[in-house]
Amino acid sequence: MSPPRTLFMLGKGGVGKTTCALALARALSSTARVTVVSLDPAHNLGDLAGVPLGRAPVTLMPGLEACEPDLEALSRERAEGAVDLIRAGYRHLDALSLGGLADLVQHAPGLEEQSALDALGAFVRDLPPEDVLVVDMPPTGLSVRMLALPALSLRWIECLAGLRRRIIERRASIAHVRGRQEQDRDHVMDRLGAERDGLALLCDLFENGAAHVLVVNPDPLSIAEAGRLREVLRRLGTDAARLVINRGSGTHEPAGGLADLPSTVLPDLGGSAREPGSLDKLGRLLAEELG
Amino acid sequence: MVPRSLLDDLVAILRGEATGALELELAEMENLFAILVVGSLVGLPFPPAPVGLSILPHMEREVGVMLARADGLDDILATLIGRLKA
Repeated sequence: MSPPRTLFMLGKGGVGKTTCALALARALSSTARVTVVSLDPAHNLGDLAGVPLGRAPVTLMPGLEACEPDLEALSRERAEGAVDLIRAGYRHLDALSLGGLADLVQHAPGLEEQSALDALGAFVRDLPPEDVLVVDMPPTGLSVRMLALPALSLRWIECLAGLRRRIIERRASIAHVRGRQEQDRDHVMDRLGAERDGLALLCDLFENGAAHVLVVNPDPLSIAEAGRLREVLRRLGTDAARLVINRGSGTHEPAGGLADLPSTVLPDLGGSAREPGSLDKLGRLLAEELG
Repeated sequence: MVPRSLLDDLVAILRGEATGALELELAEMENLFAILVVGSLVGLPFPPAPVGLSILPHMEREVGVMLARADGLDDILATLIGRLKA
């Protein structure tokens, strides 16, 4: 099944990604069923919406659901699940100390990014194509690693799967000559296949299926960071769909690397930006361009 | 009259000889597979941790081969020569 229409709000921490994501989601929910997901460990979406949010979607208004998965908890669960399986399967290797392994594994490079991808993948798989998914992405560093991880993992999985196929063939040859019955299923190959399917879906979404929206403030640092994000998107074979200049003056000229992008300037509404009326005003401006 | 059990043993020995080289190659591939998955420990390029973590629970056999290989590093030349002589 096709994925839902997906929009990623990307940019430096503090530029207003969460505000833009919620404002846009509210506006789009007048014509479609919308889910807004925050993958930002800062957990601002619930504060902004005035509703406690967690892993399960909560209805904010008719046609609009929101959730804010706790990436640290998801990483912990993934690490503990793997360690439990290792504990059960490696019972002959008594020398392998597993005490505290989950604590170490939970903070392994890439696990937080993979947890965010797992959460995102669940929505991409489960939501129907006529729905809209608005994703409030983490700050740039984590977003870049998250965007790059599926393609990198897929390359490794292809390499490991190739070697695995040769191992399975050799095992079958030996079993045949010796008149033994080799196991029908190879669990490692099964796992590699399952990981490959999930990652291929996300790769396709990042490269072809989603709109990447760069959110900046009219300041050199956030614009420079958005420029670097755009370079990452281009290396992945895609590009940003739009530049949103949040708290802009209306006369701002974006810097060189972003000048050719279509842009939307959102006014600075000060402290009132969190009020529903202000969010709807921002949302209408965004939806006119992105809707 | 040659006893049946002797013939069975002879066939098993011949089959073992026939697959010896394949088994050595298989053990090397299983060792390589395990080293690739957990190679970061010895400075090799390594797959993203979530990929390794996903398949590691099902790699008891490969990890066993890898540990046995590590144990027998001093004797690896003898193992190879023994296999060639056979």
